[in-house]
This record gives sequence, C-alpha cells and structure tokens, in this order.
Amino acid sequence: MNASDNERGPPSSDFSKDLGERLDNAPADERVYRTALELYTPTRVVEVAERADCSKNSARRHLRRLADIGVLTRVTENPETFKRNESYFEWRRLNRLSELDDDEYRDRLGELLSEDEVYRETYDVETPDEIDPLEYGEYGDAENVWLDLNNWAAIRREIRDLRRSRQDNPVDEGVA
Amino acid sequence: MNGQHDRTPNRALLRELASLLASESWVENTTVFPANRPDSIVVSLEQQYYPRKYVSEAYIEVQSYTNGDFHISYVEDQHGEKWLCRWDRHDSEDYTRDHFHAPPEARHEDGENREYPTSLWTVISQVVAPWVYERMGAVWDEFST
Repeated sequence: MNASDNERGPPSSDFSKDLGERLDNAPADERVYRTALELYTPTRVVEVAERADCSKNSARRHLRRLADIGVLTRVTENPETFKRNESYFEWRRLNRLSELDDDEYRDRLGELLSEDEVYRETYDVETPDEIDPLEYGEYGDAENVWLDLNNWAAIRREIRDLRRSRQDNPVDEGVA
Repeated sequence: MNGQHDRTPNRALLRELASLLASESWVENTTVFPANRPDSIVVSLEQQYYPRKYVSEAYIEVQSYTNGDFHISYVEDQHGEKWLCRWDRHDSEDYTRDHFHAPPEARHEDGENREYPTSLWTVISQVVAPWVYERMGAVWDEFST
C-alpha cells in the first residue's frame, strides 16, 4: 500500500487478455447465465448460443433451467425465445433489503439521507425532477449534471425501497 | 438524455461483474452499490501500477440498466484534480447510442461516436481493460516528463 515509487511501475503484461480468457473458459452454464442477465428483449436460443459460445443444445438446456427457477421468462415457444423476468429481479432486491438487520438498515438509511440532503443543498430543490432538462447547462456540463441527478434519483429510490421494506415512512416524511 | 431518471439498474449483472473483477490482478478491490453511488459498482485499481506522486487513486465505476444503457467511467484522482473519461451506451441527441467521452474531463462536447460489442462483459474485457492497461503505461510517461 505504501510502496515507494521505485517499487511501483506499470503492469508487466496485458491483463486484459487474461480477463478475456477467464470469461471464455468459464463453464457453459456460467457463460449462459452471464448472457441471460443481458436478455433485455426476447432472444432466440441460437443467438444466446452464439453469444455464450456454446452449442445450441447446451444453451437451450441452461436457458430452460433459468426459466424454471424464474430468472428468465420463456416468451415464445416456437421458435423458443427468452428474456429476463424483471419481477424476479425486483423480488430479489426487495428480499435483500428486507433481510438487512436493524443496524445495517439504520446505517444505510442514514448515509442515504445525508447524501439526499447534500443534493438538496447543492441544487436548491427538493427532488431531481424539479430541474428542467433545458436548465441542466446552468449547473455545469449538461450531460454530467444529468448523470449527477440520476445518482440523486437512485439515492431517493433506495430510501423509498428501504422504508417500504420495513413499512416505514415515505422519503420526505421525518428526518433521520 | 431526456431528463428521465427512471432507469432500472441491472443489479444482478453488476454484482456478478464485481465478483469477477475482484479477483483480477490489476484490481485492488470492488465496492457494490455504495450509499453515495447506489446504482454503481466501484472498482479500485491496483495502486502499485501508478506513480504515487502523480495519481493518488484510480477507479472504474460501472452502471448498467435493464434498457441496455451503460456508463463506464475511468477516474484518476491526481491529488485533487480529477482526470476522467467515459464509455457510454444511451440515446443522445448529438452522438450515436454507443459513444465515448474523452479525457481529461469527459464533458458532453468531448464525445466521439463508437460501436461497442453487444455484451457488457465483452465491452469490459475487450474495450475497457485493454484501455486501462495502455493508460497504466502512459501515466508513467506523463509523470516523468
């Protein structure tokens, strides 16, 4: 950690090749799962097989298994197409939030609320939606302001979801 | 970029990606959904690959959404001064859906049209990781001049 600069130096070999190999050499079920997480629209087995670099039969078998456990939805049967089952992922998230113990819940909520507070002071409004996109440029680089407001919205969404997981108050009621 | 903030993060993918990258030699550690960036994973890069006097820390932040959008930022903290760039996939009035915001500031006007592989896994391994490797070399050149 505190190595002086003469113990430091650029990496000795191109690590990106190793990463590519790790992805390529993973077991077929992992490769199909990674691809499955990106099936935002109904996708045919043959395309998944291509993207996961495995046989069509193997892709079909793993896709059906993922559909059985709820990760994917089988959209059409002939030809077979699959897409992500968003309600499964939403359930998984809410389940995760509801499993936080009291300390974790309080810490996380406290941190989020103080982030929310900083944003309200920075932009001098109560919610990110109160800022007109045409005015983003007044706060800095318009695209970076958009991304910053996205982050603020994400903070507020998580506050809401956390409180819902405990049947607590909505985001603006009460102060931590 | 239309003022909407209702994209749903692809959290399952981001968790998988963080756990994959956590065991890479060039990665110091990964943080999943920190409270100040609740839609992101933050991948801290190995400090020994940077001259300490020039770069105090470097990290990659990844955001991925269920409409296919992503933002991958590379950030160097040059002792208080941020040096950054960003690989983006999202609709834009001025650029193609896939584009890159060049360093050092990654402003909107620094955008360049690009075409990335479909899969975020491949974008990371074939676009971002090779770029980071190059940068880790270039930074020593910049530092010594």
